[in-house]
Amino acid sequence: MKNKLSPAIVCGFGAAVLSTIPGVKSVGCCLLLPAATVLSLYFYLRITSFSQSISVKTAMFIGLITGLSSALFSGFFEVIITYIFHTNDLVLTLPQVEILLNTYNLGDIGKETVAILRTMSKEITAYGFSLTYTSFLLFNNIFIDSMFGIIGGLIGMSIFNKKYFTKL
Amino acid sequence: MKNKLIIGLVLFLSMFWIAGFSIFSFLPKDNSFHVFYPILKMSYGRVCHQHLDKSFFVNGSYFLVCSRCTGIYIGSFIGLVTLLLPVKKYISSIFYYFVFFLVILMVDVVTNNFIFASYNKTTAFFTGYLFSFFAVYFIIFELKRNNFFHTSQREI
Repeated sequence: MKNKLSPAIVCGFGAAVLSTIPGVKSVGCCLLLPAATVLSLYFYLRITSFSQSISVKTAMFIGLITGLSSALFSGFFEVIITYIFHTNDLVLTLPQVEILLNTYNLGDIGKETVAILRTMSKEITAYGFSLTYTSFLLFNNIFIDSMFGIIGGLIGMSIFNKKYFTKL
Repeated sequence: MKNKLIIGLVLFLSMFWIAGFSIFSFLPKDNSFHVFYPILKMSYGRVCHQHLDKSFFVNGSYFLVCSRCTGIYIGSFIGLVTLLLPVKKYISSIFYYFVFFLVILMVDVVTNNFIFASYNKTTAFFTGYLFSFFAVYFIIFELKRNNFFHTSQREI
């Protein structure tokens, strides 16, 4: 089973690397992770010598592992890059977000939101790390990537079962 | 019946997802939900480049995903809605429709990003829409063909 999971981990790593490259993200968009999962399912089939069709359970499991792998690796890359450069998207876009939030009449809740964002931004600028930001980033990555990984798994299962295991 | 329940659940999640990226265009200015803007922007940023010049601008606010992603999500939503309608929907060549619109989508991605200087939001939206519409049909028909809904009904 360990050997059968390696395509998912490798493809998740590949998706994480590609998602950190701005130009590639612009092209791949929301299809990058499902495409990585489809590729990992293909490698899974190669490892099992195309012996049997992919079950829904297997497809979803491989999609989940690809998504988790991508989430953890991309989170790790983001933390490292933020630590080195002491800046990230949050710090860069904070002034525009503040202007936008100030245009709405949100009262105290708006002020508190801006204060939390400023605290995270200051921590990143000063130390290159913010625990609140990193926790949110990891939670967000794990949730979104797992979901898109599972969707990719279902797409891959449909394609490969149709292509390799349908009697004509 | 069980398959409609599962499709309905996915439809609800899909509706929730679409609401998340488009809600700021339809909320009143003083609505306190606007405090979630930075969080939702970051969440959707995980799966979309969010370039403003490639996103729809509605009611003085940009959607949190690009026009292609908007098309993909709305296409899957409409696909799921039509699957729930009580009409016969079996299309024997659904796989070829799926592949055809996948190729069209890829051609549009390449031409929009590498050949033409200007980005066409309308073609991006419709290529995404058609691809995901048929992708949803393809997946559901394959699941039905593999007795997924039948099996889950028995197990439950």
